Amino acid sequence: MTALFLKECRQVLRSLVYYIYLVIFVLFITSQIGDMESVGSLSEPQPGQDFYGSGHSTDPHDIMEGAIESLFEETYRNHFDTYPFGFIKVVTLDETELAQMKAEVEQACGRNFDVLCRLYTDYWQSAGEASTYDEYLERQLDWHLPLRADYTYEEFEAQMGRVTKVIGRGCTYDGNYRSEAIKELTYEDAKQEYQDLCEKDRITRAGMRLFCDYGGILLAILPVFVGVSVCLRDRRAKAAEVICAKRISGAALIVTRYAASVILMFVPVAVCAFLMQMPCSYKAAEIGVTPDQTAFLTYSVVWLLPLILLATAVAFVLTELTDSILAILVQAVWAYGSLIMARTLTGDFGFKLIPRWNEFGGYDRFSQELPQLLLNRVCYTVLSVALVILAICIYERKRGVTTRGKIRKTHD
Amino acid sequence: MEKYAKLMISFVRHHYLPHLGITALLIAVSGAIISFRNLDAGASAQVMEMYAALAGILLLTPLFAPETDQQIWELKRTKVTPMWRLYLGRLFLAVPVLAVTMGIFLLRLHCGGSEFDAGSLFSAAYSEALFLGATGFFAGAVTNQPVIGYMVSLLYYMGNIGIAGKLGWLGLFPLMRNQPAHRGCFLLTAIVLIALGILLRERIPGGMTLPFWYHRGA
Repeated sequence: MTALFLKECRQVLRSLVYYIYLVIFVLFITSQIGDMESVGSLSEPQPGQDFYGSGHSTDPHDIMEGAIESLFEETYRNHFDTYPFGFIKVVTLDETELAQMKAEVEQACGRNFDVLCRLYTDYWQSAGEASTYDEYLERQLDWHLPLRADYTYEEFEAQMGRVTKVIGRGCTYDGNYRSEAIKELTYEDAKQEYQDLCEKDRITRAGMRLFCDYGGILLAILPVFVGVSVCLRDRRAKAAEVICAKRISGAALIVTRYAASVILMFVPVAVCAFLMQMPCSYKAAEIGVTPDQTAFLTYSVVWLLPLILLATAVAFVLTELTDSILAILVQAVWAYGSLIMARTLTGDFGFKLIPRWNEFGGYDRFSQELPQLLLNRVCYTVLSVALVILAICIYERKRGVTTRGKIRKTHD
Repeated sequence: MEKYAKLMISFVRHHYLPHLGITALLIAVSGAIISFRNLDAGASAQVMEMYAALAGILLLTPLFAPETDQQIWELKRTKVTPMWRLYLGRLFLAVPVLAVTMGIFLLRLHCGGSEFDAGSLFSAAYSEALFLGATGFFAGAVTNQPVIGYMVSLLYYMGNIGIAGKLGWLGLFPLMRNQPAHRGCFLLTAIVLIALGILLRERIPGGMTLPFWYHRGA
């Protein structure tokens, strides 16, 4: 088995597809994360700062305000994001439907829609162009639609129901408006976040979450190319019949081939993670925090390895089944769909193929969502194993058809 | 002509049918994923450039697939019909199918009450689809591996989602980004890539140059 495993590793290492995989992954990660600029600029918040960033709010008034502001902006642009089947689908309303939305906003604010539009455009014209993202975020948080003084949460929920009927299910107002409640952080909030980053995340873990966020985008699709190439190799080299005549079992062959592919694809990912962790380790040492030096391995194995396992397993099973490149198209659709179905770039993991956490920090929220992430990854790992077993069954079935009359060893 | 018709029917039946099926699936499920209703010019461009243009990859990348098998390639080389005519024939099949696919999407947009300049949008999206498909065709033809063809074209498409603005005339989704559509550039590049792909497979002195990694079982 060991000799076969090493042979399969050599075959993968001679594949042009494998090197394209390596180059694309490294280029993408270095272009997106680079030298971890968010780590370099990390500093303890000081009292009296103008802006401490933003965070989610659970206050009912903030929820109502966020939802109605979102409804106003989407009505203003006549552009509504919905997720009816998990994928984003942009809806544009006709005149009648748009008039209904305007009426709902007017009811919530107690003012004419055109008046609100004037307030909106006047605000952004006077605010001017933001030179940084933080500045834009600050202005976004400062903009508030004035709600009616007697506007109640019950009335708000009834309105959300009516709005959903018009726009369609899966829209922001279909029970998803809580994510619109954003508030400006206070000094105490920012200090607590900084303490969590230092004491609980130990800097490196936050850095690795960011690495896994970006790495997951490519690892949901790239391994399928290597997997398909590995599976089609026998057919291309006309070696399939020769292999079928060998004593080795289909399970041993598929498992060693799969293991070789997965390990050779995972090792460079772990190496990249280690290199990307280094700026975080240096920063931690600089501010007197003990970094978690094993974070790169923990996060790579838990977060990214299941993606490699799944994409490769999909490649194996569909290629064995169809002897074609169908797996590439299936996995491309699945990965792309997972990417565009994300309502948020931080959390809401559910059972998404590509979990997102595009934030440096946020330990408190992450620890609340961690159980869901772990369940997500375990499920995909189990699915990968099931697909590999299916690939073995398909391979053995094909082998059984082509080896009728195979000479078997006798015990004479 | 009868000979070419038989060759095309054989190609469709043994190699191209799954790709036609997947293209039909792309059209069939589009209604669940994207909206065709009441879109303005920019949103209509997004439908055509980001979604419909994927048909180019599906229809053009596999045109040389039968000849990835060296024995089939050597057999066909012994025939009177030059190989480049085979590829051209397949191209003459794929190009109108792609046009019909793009036309179906435009029709759906029109039936959804969307506002757009049909001629301009069709020509822009069609040239992009041809370019994407030609990229996959060239990469796959030169390396003799369709997998690499799909890899290059899909990754080029995905990369353009973030950096299209930095790729100049070859940046995808120009209408969506409110830029002038580089129809001529896309069309010319597609023609050059397809011609080069066919040429490199067929006209290198000494026969088809299979890349070294092919012989070593990559």
